[in-house]
Amino acid sequence: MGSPKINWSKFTINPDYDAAPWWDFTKEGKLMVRSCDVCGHRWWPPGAIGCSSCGNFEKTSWVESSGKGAIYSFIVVTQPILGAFAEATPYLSAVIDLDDMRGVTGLPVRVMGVIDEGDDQAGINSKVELYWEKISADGKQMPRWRLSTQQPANVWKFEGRPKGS
Amino acid sequence: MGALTGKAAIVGVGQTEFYRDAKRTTLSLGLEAIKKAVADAGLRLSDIDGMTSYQTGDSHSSNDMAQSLGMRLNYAVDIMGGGSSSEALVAHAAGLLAGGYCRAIVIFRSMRGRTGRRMGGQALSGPQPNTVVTSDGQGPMVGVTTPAQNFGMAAMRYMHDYGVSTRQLAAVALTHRYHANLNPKAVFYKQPLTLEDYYNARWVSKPFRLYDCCLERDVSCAMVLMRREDSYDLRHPPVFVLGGTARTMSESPSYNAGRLHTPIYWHGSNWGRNRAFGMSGVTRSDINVASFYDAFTITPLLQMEGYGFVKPGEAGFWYQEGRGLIDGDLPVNTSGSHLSEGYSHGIQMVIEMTRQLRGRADDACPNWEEGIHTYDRKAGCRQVKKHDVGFCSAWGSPTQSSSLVLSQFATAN
Repeated sequence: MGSPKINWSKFTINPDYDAAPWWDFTKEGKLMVRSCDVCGHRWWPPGAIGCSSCGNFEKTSWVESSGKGAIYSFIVVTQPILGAFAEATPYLSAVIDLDDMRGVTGLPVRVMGVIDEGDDQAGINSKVELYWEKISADGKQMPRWRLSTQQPANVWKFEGRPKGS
Repeated sequence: MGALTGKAAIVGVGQTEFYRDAKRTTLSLGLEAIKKAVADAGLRLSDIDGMTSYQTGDSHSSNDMAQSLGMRLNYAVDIMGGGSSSEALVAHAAGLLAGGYCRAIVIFRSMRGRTGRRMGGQALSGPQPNTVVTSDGQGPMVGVTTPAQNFGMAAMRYMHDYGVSTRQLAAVALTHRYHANLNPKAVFYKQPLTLEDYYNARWVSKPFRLYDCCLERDVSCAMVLMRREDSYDLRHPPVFVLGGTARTMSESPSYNAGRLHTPIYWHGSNWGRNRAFGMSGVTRSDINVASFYDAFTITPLLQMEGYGFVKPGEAGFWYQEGRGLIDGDLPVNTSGSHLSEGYSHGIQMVIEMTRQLRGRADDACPNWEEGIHTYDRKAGCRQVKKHDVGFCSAWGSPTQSSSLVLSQFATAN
């Protein structure tokens, strides 16, 4: 299926005060997660400004991820709902565990991404890595994801109809 | 037991049909459901002095409804929300009645779920032409906006973690469809679903096929609650509120990505289980009939496990063994509910539970209104045999749950 063709001209990012800094970082090609200055918890998405571990929202910072990770869960979208994605179906959208980011409970920080070539190849545990695509005249970029060259042996793929059923 | 256990009762229920296209406003649909619920209770509109509803900015208010019917209310409040709201509003009503804020209260939901604003940005006319994201864009930026897509993420990880397949999801669809086949109100009345039908249907988004998803419809449902002491001499036996939970939810901020301690398929029921049964003074083995919010085939599984009816990972196999069928261990979703009766944001499951606990499920038995049933399924009887205590479980966002323990007895034992 290649790289899903997403028509960003039909997609406008007009972020609110909470999310705007994250989108500004994308102009520099930086994938940031929010970090709690009080307890050290880390999380995504950027619009969630408060720390769900300790309740601090007054003092938080941004830390950059290398953008390497593994698929935690996924769906394959077959039906176009958003016009920008109308020509992209079928595409695989995933929740991705970042390799270099953990919250205070030890669980990886999770981000979301569309995975190139995902429908045919990917599953839970697939290794993925980040690249950027420019999506607007003001320089905002969208994180895009491709499968890493090296893949683990334990990739779990979705079986549409199990044998014998 | 809770301070309000057995203090309030559902005394009337009403609903419109489940329309594919009602060609009516949510005002018109709501008025019909409210009048039917009040009539079902054997009350007059002037007996009602409280009204609440829930909506997502897609409906008319309690104020609109009451004024159209010439009702003068002592209490009118509308809340935001979809699934898990009706059970929360029942808890709220019990408190209002006990506190003397009003003496008879209507709860309603009126929605054009099919022809009005649909969930997750879907449109009947095709894909949204333009998307403007005004927050962080999580979801839309990866083409994930609909409930089917969001719940699919939870379903996929759950299947991975517990060795569950689409065969178990199919078992949920087939069980609820069988019950709809017996329910004259259901969209799929007398229309069976086979395993082949399930597998031959189109994908909505993997892992969900068409019959994994609920039936969006234009519909309104309503119910009337009163204090226990006012409930005995009405048209039907009262159904008492023993307890429950009202929107128990996770601490984590994100729909899909962030959970502080738990997997993404972890649901509010896991946190609400002790409160729901403890407050009600019953145990799971006291429950004779249950319903689990079935927006998708995955959601009943997570709720059954969350509330502790079966162990984690077992619910789909439990369904596959037929244990949720009307004459099984624990009949579930006896109306066919969202998957096969029609989608109402949960309120129809409380209405169905009320009918079952009264012993007056509306079916093909000629004298069902007097509670006389044949229990002959082939002849279209859909009344469960034992109906002392029922459990309704509801689902809001992927982490949020409400529940309701109802009984034909005002105390648990």
